[in-house]
Amino acid sequence: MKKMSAMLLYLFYQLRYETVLFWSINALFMFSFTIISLIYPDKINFTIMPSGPIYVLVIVVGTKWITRSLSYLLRLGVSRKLYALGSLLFTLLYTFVHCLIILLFYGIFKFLSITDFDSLDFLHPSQFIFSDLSTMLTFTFTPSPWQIFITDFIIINCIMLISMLISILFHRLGKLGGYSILAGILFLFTLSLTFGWLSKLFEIIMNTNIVLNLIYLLVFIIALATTYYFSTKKISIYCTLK
Amino acid sequence: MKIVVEQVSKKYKDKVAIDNLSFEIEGPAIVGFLGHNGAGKTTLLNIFASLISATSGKVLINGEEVFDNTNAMKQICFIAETDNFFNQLTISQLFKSNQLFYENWDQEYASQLLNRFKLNEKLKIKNLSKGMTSALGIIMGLACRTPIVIFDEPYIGLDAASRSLFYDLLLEEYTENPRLFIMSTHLIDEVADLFNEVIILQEGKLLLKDSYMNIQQKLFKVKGKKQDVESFINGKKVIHHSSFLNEVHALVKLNNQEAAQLKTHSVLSFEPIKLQELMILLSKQYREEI
Repeated sequence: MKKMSAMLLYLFYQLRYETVLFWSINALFMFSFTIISLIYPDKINFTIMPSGPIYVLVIVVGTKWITRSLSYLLRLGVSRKLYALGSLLFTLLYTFVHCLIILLFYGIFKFLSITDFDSLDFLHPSQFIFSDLSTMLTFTFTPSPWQIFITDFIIINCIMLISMLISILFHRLGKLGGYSILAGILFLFTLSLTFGWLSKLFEIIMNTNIVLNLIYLLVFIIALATTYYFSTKKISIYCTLK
Repeated sequence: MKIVVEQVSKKYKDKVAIDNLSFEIEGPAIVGFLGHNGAGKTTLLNIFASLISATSGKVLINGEEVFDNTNAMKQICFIAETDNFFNQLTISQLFKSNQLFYENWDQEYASQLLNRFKLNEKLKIKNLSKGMTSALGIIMGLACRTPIVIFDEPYIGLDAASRSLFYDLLLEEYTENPRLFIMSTHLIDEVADLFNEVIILQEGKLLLKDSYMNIQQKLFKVKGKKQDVESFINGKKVIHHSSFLNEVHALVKLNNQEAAQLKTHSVLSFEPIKLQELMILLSKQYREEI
């Protein structure tokens, strides 16, 4: 338990600076747009998506995960099992904090929109996930705070875990192996577009109950986390194929 | 504190880094881990610290296999040449997390050492010079108080005065809190007098494992005229032999009686071998044998 707390503290110190820096820049941009929209309500109309940049941030954090944490933590006596569990727990906490901040921003913007302020539009993936086809296309659906939170929580976790798996892929197989497998996945993706498998999947998702879709996504996250857990077994600080 | 290496091999693709090594190290002691570049020192030390797995064989720490074993791993503190710390941390943050990572972390001693090395705990690790980062690694190795501390080339960029301070502190710490310190270094003669035991590796194989005292008492560099040296070394274990003009130099391993005989020899001159020279000569001999 002590080592787990130490690991979480260490990762917190490690990511604190860039997270604060990132949110400061993100907030600065969003508030700049808000102020411009307030000054020129008839001339300018902005659409912003506060959670968009977070998805990019977690891709960066996730793909560098192994390089930035494994060798340091193993040297501090953390076992691989603890490393995997600690990474997953930290991912949950990290995602939770981001989701809370996103929610805070939506709260602020919602407050502004109550005051007849409509030259700023907000875009959030929950508008697609929780709305039906008619409201989805007109962007008239306003998600509730918990819908925003749960959507971001699932999306950020998925992105972070996939990025962490990519970082393991590159660590274990080297650049050549990593890029080859990514190319293979891209090829499969192109095939699925060509043969319309993706549109069929999309259709199935659209026709399935939202709660059921969320459960599927949660199962997908658990599958990613399990894959991550097992892929750190016997991992070395150096590339395995070196 | 006992490390048992049992038929350990490590291969990277076609390269054999460690070749079927077996030996034991018992503490408390300061053990010198020596060898040329690529001899397999860092690889083996990484296996000790469970940072990499062995291709075959096993390493036991106090009877427990070390690889990914929490019990065995918590007995070790590994300080590598570089990349010991994440550079976004300040020294005080590093120490705060170390208190949780190491059960016996001595914060007061760590603060004292910071003063001795003239480091400020508010500094960020990324702003430290190479020497300061090395000093921080040394502080961590000494203050962690784990039963086994591994220093793998710990003083990159550290000036002579700070290295001397490190040797003093190491000796002080070893006297007050006897533990097993394993140190890999290329500055052999500088640190040789600290070692209780010496292990020399060459191309993944064990070249020598003996106590430093034994080496000093049994290995001698003998110099003299060819016929005198030849007659003295005849029937003894000669590790290296060279001649220049009419003078012959030989490195011989002697037992107590032979050593006493040499010391009273009227014609031959002799001196105990320096560790660095011994390593070079042993490597030469190894290559010639191959």
